[in-house]
Amino acid sequence: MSREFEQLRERVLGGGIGRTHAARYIAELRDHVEDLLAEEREAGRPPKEALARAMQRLGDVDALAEAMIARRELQAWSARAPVAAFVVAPLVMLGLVIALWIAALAALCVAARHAGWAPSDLARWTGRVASGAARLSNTSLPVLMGWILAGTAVRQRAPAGWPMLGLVVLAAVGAAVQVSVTVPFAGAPGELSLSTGLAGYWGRFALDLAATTAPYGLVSVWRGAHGSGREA
Amino acid sequence: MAQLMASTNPAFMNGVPELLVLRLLRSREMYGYEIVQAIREETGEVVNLAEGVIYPLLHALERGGALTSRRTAVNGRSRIYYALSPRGVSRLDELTGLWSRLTQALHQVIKGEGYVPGV
Repeated sequence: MSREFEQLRERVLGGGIGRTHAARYIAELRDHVEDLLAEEREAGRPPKEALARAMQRLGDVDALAEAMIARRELQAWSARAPVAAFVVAPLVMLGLVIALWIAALAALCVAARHAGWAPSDLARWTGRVASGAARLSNTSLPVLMGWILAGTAVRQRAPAGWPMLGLVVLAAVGAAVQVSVTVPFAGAPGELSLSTGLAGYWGRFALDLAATTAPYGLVSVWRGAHGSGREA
Repeated sequence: MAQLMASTNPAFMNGVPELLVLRLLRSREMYGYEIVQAIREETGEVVNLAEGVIYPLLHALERGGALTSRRTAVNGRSRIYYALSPRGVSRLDELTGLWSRLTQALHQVIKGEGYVPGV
């Protein structure tokens, strides 16, 4: 019985149905089978026959999968709009996170100044925070976003095409867009600069791409060979 | 969706399970197994569902706002009960009117009298 439900879960997820609906579907079917089994046992059927009849009444994996997959309104966003989910959304998220940390840094500077920090202390602290945040957003952030993208694709059993394109675009944009922040000090104004262009960053691009596509590929291959190994 | 549909004409039966589910849930909330058994009983087993396929319909109706659901624990098991929402009542009225006109027309045709709207 578990094998059938596991097959069904993979079929339904592979058909683009959202994980929440898929998990709930399987849970309801399990519960339904328990009720059918109780009914068949009450009718005096031996356990093996009762289980066979219960599964027959429930419907076979093909019928159950097709009935769910046909409901387009229950499909995950990533299945209905894969370009938006795997290519556009990660870039928007990357931009938002960068904008957020810059805004947070500016707010920190203003708050510290209002709190009466000495300009030299303020410059030292905010300078450290700014350079750390810039380094993270220039190096680790695109990789982190790539892992989230890949994780979503694997969990949703999405075909590899759009996620792979998303990872390539994310690595390219992550390497091409470099942020640097100079905090104001001793009357000199602060500076926020954004450089674009892959020249000089091909190595970063290749590294980011390998750091995201390699685990994605390995997990996908492993899942293909072994199934998920987890219940919905 | 129903066994009857599988053996005859699925397109012809489009909308029937939806109508039956909405009608049954008008009187009280039910969970999936209860709904399927009620359909079997109320239709004299003429509409006999492959029982598991009721759930995609229930999910879709809930997604469309026609049903609401609540999870409750019964004898250590978690059950999801479905109930009709105000939008579901409107949808039921719409479907009931549609099917009444259709069955009336078909009945007239079968009897060889032809269909006269409003009769």
